[in-house]
Amino acid sequence: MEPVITGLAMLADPLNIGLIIGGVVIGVLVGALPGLSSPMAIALLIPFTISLQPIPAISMMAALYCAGTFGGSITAILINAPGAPPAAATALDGYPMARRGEAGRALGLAAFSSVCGGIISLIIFLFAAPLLAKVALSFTPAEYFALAVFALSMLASISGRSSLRNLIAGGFGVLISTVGIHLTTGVERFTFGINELSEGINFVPVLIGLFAVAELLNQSRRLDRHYERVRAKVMKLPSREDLKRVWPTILRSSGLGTFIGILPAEGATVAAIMGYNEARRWSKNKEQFGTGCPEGIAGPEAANNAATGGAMVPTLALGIPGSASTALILAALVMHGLKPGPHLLQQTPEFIYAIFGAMLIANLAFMAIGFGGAKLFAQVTLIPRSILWPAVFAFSMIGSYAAASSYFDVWVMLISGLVGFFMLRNGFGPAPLIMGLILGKIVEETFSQAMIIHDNNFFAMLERPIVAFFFVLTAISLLGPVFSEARRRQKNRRLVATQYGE
Amino acid sequence: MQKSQIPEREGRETRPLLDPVDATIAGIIIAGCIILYFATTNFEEPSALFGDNIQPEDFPRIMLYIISGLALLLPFEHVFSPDGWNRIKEDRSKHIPPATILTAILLLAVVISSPYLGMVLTIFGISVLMPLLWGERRYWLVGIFSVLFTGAVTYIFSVLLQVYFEPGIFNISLR
Repeated sequence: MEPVITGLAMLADPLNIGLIIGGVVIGVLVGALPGLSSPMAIALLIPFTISLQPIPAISMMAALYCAGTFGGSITAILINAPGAPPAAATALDGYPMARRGEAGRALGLAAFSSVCGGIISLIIFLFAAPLLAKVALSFTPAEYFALAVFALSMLASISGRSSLRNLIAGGFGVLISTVGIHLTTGVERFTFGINELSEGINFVPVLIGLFAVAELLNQSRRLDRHYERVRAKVMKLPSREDLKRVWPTILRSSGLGTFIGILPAEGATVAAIMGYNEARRWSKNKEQFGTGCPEGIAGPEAANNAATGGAMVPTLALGIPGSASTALILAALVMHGLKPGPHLLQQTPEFIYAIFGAMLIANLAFMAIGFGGAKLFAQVTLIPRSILWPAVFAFSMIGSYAAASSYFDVWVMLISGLVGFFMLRNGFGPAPLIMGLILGKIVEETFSQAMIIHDNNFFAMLERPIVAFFFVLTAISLLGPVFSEARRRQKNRRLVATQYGE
Repeated sequence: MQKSQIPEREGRETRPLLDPVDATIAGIIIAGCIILYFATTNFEEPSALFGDNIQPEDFPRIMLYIISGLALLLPFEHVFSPDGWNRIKEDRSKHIPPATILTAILLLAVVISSPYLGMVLTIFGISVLMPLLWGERRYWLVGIFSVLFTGAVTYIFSVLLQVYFEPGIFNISLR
């Protein structure tokens, strides 16, 4: 009981509460603005939290993460432009409902479902993370290596357009993590005589470049885009009828979202899409989907916010990120001198309760902020892009520079941004690269240790059941897209054959 | 006319086996991997004490093999994963407008000049030049934004958060 009280007491400080509320406000704003995303905001926030204690800093980011997922639904509903990818599925029914004059009802359903999903996933997080950490305490480097490889293999099924490109981007992320001094032997690698590279590439400017600068260049292609806005007078709490109708969907999507969030590399976007599909599959009114159906809003919203709590489970219990945003939170933990994983939870169990408390406050706060200021937050989309994006670039420069007061990092940010722009254009997403960059160090370190333990015999590792289990999961996750493509083709062939009467 | 839900017959459309753009990307990736592989041959020899350990070049080389192997599949992706590939093709077939190229040049110029101008002037420069480049013609808005934004950002980071900003050749600093 003591860690619970200590953890929650850590948040009682007015400064910490203020930071959490600040994180929520930034999150909702960032989520609501098309183009800006939670990972981008977390990346920009990391350098400025260095002066804070780890718990307030991580609490602020966790709050931003939760709120950013919800913020995206405001613009998805009001202007049919999801502020963040996890809200894309919400627009399918949210916007039609808003168009028929029920914007307040749509926003209320989204907020309520989000909060329910968030709270249910937090309860699961509270019990699952310590359990998982307890199991992970028995892991040797071989198990960790296999787990990290499994997490990387999940990039094949992460949301995106191409499994192959996700894996290549992830591979590059791992490769970038090898730059600098090799920890075991002290040999410099890929430094090319540049002193600044001997300690490795600082990941903060890379994150900022890939998420903020690349998106800025992407936005410069859409300067003439305008949105048709639906007026929202006020956000309405769901009626008793609506509640009766969406409860099963919320519960189902919350469980599904939490599970998907727990899976390494999978995040809120996949959860939302699956939440929507499942809501439709179980609905008695399938034909109403796409026309403003309440379940079509509740399903993705409960799932995408549940994924945030779920994603924190492997992040804190194993040190393996559950999504791009949690990869950034993991990076922030490392910057604060903490080593995420089971030992952190064993030595400082109050940490998990503090994060739980912060995310719980964030969920309740964005509900309150949403009800009080949805109309105001919807107005942020009126900020001209020509003003918003220069501000983002200014923050990107300061953020990259501030971490080490180094112009070299500003260059790293710019180069990452330019490369990221061309990557995005060719179907390589930034999230897999970041996951690779964060997981790269773990993979190499545990691989080296495991090989020493097993006398440099890789196959000896496979005799350990958990290692073999993770490698089987890796094979399944790599082959999954291949099988689903084959299934899709077979289905298409059958449909075509039926059409042509063959 | 309503669009048919039934998919078209696959394989009827004749496509080259190799997609030229993806083949070029794969070529660039593989060339990069070869260059980096040669860089690994120049890593220093570690002390004999670490002879039994994984050598510093081993792990990067494994990654280079994996990336090259995956890159070899890229030119054929349109054959085995046509849905996702079509969306990528659609995206990259869009012309890069001059505004994007000019924005990239501006960002480059800003980063090059920032050590000389100092961070305060750099932020001011960004907040004036980029809105104008992006077609903002409400000069009063640009003026108010650039002054207020630069002032607020500099005060928050330089004074409140104690981030050290280079004063630049004009020696502009709030600290």
